[in-house]
Amino acid sequence: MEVIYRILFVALLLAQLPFLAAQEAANPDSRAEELRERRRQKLPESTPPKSPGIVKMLLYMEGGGLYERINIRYKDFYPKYGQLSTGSGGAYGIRYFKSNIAKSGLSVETSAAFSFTGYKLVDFHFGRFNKVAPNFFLGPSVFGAPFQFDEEAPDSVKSFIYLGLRYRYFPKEDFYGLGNDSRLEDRTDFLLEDGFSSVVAGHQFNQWLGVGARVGYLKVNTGLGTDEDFPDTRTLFDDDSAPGLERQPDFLRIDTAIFLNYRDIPGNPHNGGTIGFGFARFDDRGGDEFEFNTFSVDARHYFPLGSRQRVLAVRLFGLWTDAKEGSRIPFYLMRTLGGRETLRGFREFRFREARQLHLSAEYRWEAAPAFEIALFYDTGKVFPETERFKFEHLRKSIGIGFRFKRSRRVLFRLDIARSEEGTRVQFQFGPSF
Amino acid sequence: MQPLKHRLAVALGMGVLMVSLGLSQGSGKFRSDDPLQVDPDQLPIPPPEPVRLSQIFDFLKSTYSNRPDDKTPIPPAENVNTLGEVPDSSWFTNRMSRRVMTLEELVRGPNQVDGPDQSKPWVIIAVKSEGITPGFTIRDARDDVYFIKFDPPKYPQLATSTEVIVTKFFYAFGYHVPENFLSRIRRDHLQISPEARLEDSEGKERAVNDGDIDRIFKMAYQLPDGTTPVVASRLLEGIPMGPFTYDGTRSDDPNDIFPHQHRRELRGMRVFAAWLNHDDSRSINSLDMYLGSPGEGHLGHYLIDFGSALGSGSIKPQSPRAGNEYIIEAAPIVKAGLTLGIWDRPWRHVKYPDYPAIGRFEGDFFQPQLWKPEYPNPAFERMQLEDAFWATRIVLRFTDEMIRAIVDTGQISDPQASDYLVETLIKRRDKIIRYYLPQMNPLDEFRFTGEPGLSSRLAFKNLGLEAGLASASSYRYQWFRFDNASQGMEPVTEIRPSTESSLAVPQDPAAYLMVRITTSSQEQPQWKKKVEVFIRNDSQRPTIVGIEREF
Repeated sequence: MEVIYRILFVALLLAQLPFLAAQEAANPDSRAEELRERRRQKLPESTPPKSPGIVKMLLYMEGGGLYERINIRYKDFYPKYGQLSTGSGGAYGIRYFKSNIAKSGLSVETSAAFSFTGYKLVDFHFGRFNKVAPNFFLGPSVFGAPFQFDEEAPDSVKSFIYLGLRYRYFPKEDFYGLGNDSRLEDRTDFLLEDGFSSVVAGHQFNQWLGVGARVGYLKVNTGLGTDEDFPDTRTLFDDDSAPGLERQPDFLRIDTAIFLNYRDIPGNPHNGGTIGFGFARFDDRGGDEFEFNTFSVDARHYFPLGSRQRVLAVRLFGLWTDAKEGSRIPFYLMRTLGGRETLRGFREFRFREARQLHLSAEYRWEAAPAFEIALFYDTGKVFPETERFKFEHLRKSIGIGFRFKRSRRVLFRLDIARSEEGTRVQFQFGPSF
Repeated sequence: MQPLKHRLAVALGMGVLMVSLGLSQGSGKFRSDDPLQVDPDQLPIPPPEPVRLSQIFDFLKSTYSNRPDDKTPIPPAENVNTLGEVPDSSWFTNRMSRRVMTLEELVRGPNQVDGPDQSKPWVIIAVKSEGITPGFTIRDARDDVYFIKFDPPKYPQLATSTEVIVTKFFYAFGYHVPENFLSRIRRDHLQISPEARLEDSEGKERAVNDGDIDRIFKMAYQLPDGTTPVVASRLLEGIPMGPFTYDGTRSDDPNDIFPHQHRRELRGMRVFAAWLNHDDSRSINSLDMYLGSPGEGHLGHYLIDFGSALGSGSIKPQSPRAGNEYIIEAAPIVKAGLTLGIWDRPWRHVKYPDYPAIGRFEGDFFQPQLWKPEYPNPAFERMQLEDAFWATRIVLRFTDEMIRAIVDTGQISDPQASDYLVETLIKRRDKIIRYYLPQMNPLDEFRFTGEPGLSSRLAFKNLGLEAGLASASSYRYQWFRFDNASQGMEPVTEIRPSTESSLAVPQDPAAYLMVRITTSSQEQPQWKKKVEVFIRNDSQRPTIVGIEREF
């Protein structure tokens, strides 16, 4: 045993000698030389930095690779993604867009899209425009398109005029009956098919005032809904309870609108507001059974509460429809209450009537510049006649929303809303209002 | 313990001791070339592959990982010499840190030429039509290449003046920066090269046309005389190799041996960035250049793009958040969330004067220790008091007159705005000095006076006194012999008081001497911390080889 220990003792001492020698050599009496030596030692180990897969993916996205892939383009043809209507499911199509054709200032845009659930949309625009109005009338979150209130550097094209053609085939549109007391269990569906030819013109005077008008011819057809989970509208309703169910005339439709914008940052307002007034006339080309006018007001104001980051946002929307004596208003042309932009605790299309009043209030605070939390309260009702309107039986929903945004734009939002009809979670691109 | 086992343990212990002795005897505390003035980090290397930085990854990594915690102590900066200074290197050149620069030097900054030649039209060779700051690249009559950037339409001089002013400051601090010039151009003074390309909004590359240039001019401020003010940034020498990071080392650069988060000039940059509100001090605004012919060159490390600093946010005034809160910061989010937004960030209530050329920049609310960049910077987060002291010494050297001279290079046409910027910079400078200097013994600029030998004295400056942080101070000091190999110390004198800022050097044959000094000041109790100055005791020419400070 002792021999082993002796051998180990000597071996340990011997083993330390080369190490000591090496230490001596690696520690010359020059700081600079030591640093050079460390660098010489790193030289053979030098390898190009390796990027983890996640970094490569992010670089691809940041370099526009993902955008390019999503926006595959052949010359002026683009793919089109999204929803055609609530309930349409994912829709896919193709879009052709060419601006400033032959330096004429004229642009053309046309697209065709289809969903797996059978929805179809084909449209065409030609004329002088910066962007076409996805929904010209008051109410949508994209307020005031095709104006340029929200542009950092507006184009010089302040006047727009274009021809629009649109065909829609929406086979699963929901209908619960008319009135504020319609029942959830009466949910039915119908086919809405229409073709609309119009000329749209307008002028934006400055960053706060724009006017527009539209004249168009509307052909509508309603038919059997194809949603197998719900009965067709005709099984529960007739032409009295759903005016226009039996006959859908053509309409000459005239719209005018004026928009006042005094928001500080239109895409992400903290102060100021906006007011829009709209008037529309629907002229029954097959007689006078369905002749009516609508007048709408959409007012939104943003009150900073001692700080730009605490904002009380209020939206009031009112719609009055007056039918000519003896005329009726077809159910498929009535604006609805419920869903992501009105009463968020109720389903889309939940309430229909000739008139409606709707108020939304949100207390918003920016927890961080890119993140906002909102508590909201929506209330409103639909009603047939102003004389019978009372502030009773208003439908209400409350909720909390989470918004992700940039300094000038709300990118997307997640709203969780609660009403007497349950809780709804809604994801939406763009602001609530 | 068995005797032989005991012997084994002794053998092991001896081994450890011999290694330790070998280390200390072979090197000693000070080497023959200490204090190192130049870091030899320019060994020839082959050109590495250019790297690309994912801004999203950099943001996520810096925000959610790689943050210092309370459990792991932060080591001192690694690339300092024995005086605690940063040697010249491919990262840094001592300028204001080594001597007081002249006004002329400060005003000239990094500029080697007088700006782009306007004798002939500029030829556009590339366009950046997208992004926060659109601009283009031109070639001038001298064949020099410049990147051209503009002011936002509502804020004349905001971005261009800021770029030039902050470049001059960072050059004086010692960093490597591009040459930036203010200029004015007319639209008709530009020609488009047939080879000029741009990437459109759809990500497709195509030829540049007049409409592209018109669009950029439409987004830029124009003077009533039809000219457009621009900042022209001269193309850096060398081959671009991508940005550097504020942590780790570059694996394909053998010269890069100090983890960047432990480089003093990157840690201490936090003080400079706070002074100038350079909140965009992140990797994307840096650039490594391969300097020299292939195989014989090395990487040089540059800071670029100072458009988001002072009160400028490049295309608009700085966000009020800039310098006050990270983009994502949990504490204020939770606080605001729990109080449903009733608690509000104090910085949101700061009032700024209305100077379009200045944007949002102020000195009353500013607190240097609380200042933050856009998102956590790994080097800034590891800044220690030693690093801050190093930077504060440099800040201290900027007189009011120097600040005025540098601000004047921004050619801000509104004199009130210019005055405000100078006053604010002075205010912020003074706050930095008042925050950091009281936390340590501020003796500095040690030097010998008198003839070597009997009359030799070690003189120094009390930076705190010079900065007006105390009305008077006195010193206590003690001399030691210092054994460089063993690092043992032996007193030469007893502890002595002094009211003078120079101490007699004792006559002693020891190879190294050390003097330990503490400062007494009623107003500044932290000045009692020790400063130890090491001297290589050559009777003909004594040298200061080391300074160690208690923090």
